[in-house]
Amino acid sequence: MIDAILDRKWLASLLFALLLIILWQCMDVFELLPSYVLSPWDILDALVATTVDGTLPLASVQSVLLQLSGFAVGAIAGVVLGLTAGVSRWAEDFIDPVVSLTYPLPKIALFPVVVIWFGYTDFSRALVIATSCFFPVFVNAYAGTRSIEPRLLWVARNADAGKARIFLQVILRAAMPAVSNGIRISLALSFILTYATETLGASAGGLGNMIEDGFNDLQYGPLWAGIVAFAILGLVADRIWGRLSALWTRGQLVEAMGRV
Amino acid sequence: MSEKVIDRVTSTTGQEPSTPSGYRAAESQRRWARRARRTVAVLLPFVVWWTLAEIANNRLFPGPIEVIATLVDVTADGTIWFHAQQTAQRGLTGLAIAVVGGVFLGVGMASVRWMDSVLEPLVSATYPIPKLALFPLLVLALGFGAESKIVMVTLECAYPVILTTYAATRGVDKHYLWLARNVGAGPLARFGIIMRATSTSMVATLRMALPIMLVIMVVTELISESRGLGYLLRRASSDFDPELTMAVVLLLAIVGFVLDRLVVLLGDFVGRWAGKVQL
Repeated sequence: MIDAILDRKWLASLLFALLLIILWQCMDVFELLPSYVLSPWDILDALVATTVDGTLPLASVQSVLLQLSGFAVGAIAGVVLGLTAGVSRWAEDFIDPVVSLTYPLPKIALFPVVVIWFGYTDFSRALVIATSCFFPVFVNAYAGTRSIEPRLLWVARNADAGKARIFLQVILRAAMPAVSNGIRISLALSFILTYATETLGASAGGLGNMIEDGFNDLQYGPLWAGIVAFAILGLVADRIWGRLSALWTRGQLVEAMGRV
Repeated sequence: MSEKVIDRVTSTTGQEPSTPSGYRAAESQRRWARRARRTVAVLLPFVVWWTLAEIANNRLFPGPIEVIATLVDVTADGTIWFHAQQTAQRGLTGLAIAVVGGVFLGVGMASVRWMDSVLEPLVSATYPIPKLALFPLLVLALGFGAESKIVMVTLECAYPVILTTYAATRGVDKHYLWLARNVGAGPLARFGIIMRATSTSMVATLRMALPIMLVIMVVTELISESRGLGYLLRRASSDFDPELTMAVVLLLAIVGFVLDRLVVLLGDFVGRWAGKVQL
């Protein structure tokens, strides 16, 4: 019996998660939880309440728009520059040293600087999100292009393929798993930064602001609803990207970077 | 690693020197050209920044010289040391807990069956969730002080550590472990073998976790704190003091860079110890 459950990993972990949730609910019944920890049932209640009065959907849409605009700009710039640095030595010599120097800087630290110039606006927020998202994508696209199996290129050259053709049909496809991995890391990062930038500075709107307001006014319902909404958004975005990239990297070995 | 893909593609069609000495001269010339380009690449942003600042001539947009001077000032009078030390202390504590705990969990998940079944899907599923959103709850539970930040850093940094340790441990050659069991090695000795075999990917993980730690420290200190570099950033920004703000950013960049280099050095050391060279 136990063996059969342990064989199905999803079942075992699902049962474990259910057990935790039941335990959590029981703790609420026996009044062991502090006031700011809502029971799973109350969280569900808060989710429904904030959805019905429209605050949660509105905040989610605001957050997603901000996250998507920053992420898209950063990821596209990362892919383009990463591939360019990977295939051209000239571009590499100009881009790589600058990126290596700025890579370890926590990009969120730029937010207070950007705020001095543009204020606590969505433009400042998107700018910082884009800057942050650029780096993982660039590093992965660059490394992925550089570590292409040379035999693939020899075959392409042997078949008399031109530069453009080699780039489009060999390099781009071979670098795809690494690029997709970088984008996945950036996607997770973009939500963290969306939360961080929305929390800073009043009247930001979005889920981060909703959580912050709930915290300040001791409204634990909206606070938890915002946290759960962020979790769901992060999960869904990751799943969607997983599906999409599976289409493009079909038949290729996807190197696990922090993922199994 | 140094050979570029397109270069490799085009090198046979380009001009190739026929003699070995001619080849060597061309090679060294190429290397000098590269070094020159890379130096220009590092200096160029500073020159552009300086020029723009000169043109703008705006108090809100200081040039690199003013910013560096400010950084030297606040370093000399000691104000920044206190904050830097606070940030470093908490960040490194959180990171250390994340690494130790993450390694144990990762190795456990990879070698104990029920841990693998029960925990691995949960950890993978919760990985893309922005854990930072839990920070207000941590503040409610632990207060605005050091504890909530240390726990936050641990929470965010543990994930990459757990998952890479898990993958690396599963990748350990089973023959080593069978051999160890055969000669009667206990669990501790087997753990040592796993540590040795996975040490290079551990360092790679550390290199991944380090920037996460810095981000979380800065964010949590920006949100709520009266000490640390993040606090200094927020205060300087709301005082409309761009020179100090940028000086702190510059310091954070230096700290991040130095820490990253230290991990790379550690990687060399560990690589030699493990009998492999990586990083």
